[in-house]
Amino acid sequence: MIQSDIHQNGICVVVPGTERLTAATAGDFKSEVSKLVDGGHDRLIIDLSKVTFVDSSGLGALVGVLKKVGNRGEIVVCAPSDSVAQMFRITRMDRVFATYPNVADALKTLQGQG
Amino acid sequence: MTFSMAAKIDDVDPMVLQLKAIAETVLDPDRVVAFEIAISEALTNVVRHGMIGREDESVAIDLQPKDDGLVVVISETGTPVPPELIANISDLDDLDQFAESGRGIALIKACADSLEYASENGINRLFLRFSNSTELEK
Repeated sequence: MIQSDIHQNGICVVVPGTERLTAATAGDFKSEVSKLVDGGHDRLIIDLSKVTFVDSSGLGALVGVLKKVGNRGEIVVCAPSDSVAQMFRITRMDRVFATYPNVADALKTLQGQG
Repeated sequence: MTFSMAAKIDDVDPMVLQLKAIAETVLDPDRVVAFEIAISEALTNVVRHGMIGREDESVAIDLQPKDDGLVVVISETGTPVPPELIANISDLDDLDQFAESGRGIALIKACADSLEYASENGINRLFLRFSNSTELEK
């Protein structure tokens, strides 16, 4: 179960309610974040600080939500662990998702763009 | 050391964590990351594709520590992976960045030092080797 928190300019910080964003959890994650997007939240920060591992299904869920948002908004990630950052690098997802060291930095950047 | 798990998606993460704990005693930290990615993808592929609908059956995982790393053999009795798929594994650079699936085998290949697959007498075996002398792609 994700946790979401709406900030200034409608920016939504999403915390996945799991330490492992994998095939076992990615479907629920994508479904719950998609509901946020359907509800009009299309500027999302995915806070990965509590996520220790992301597999290809987890990446697929993130890409799926990114495609759902499309050009209407944006999705960034923040605070990936070393191993999650490595997964993003080897799959080239670091070229797809802007990454910030923490929620505050991501908020500052997105609010500056809003 | 041989381990066994039911062919259920919910059993993959606990098994990966169990295997990772052993890998941490043998492999360098960078290689443990590669190990975790490859094993997670391999076991997920087995459950999601080869053993789909066969949750009562089991998957065996054999860990063999070596001088400079670890060899893993995953054995199961599901539908074999087509030989052409194994022979033509894409590089991660060649995959669509916006694809929502289809990265699993490419990730296994990228993370393991070697990958071999054999299907004989109804048993499929995936052999993966992880060496401490290899750096995970940056």
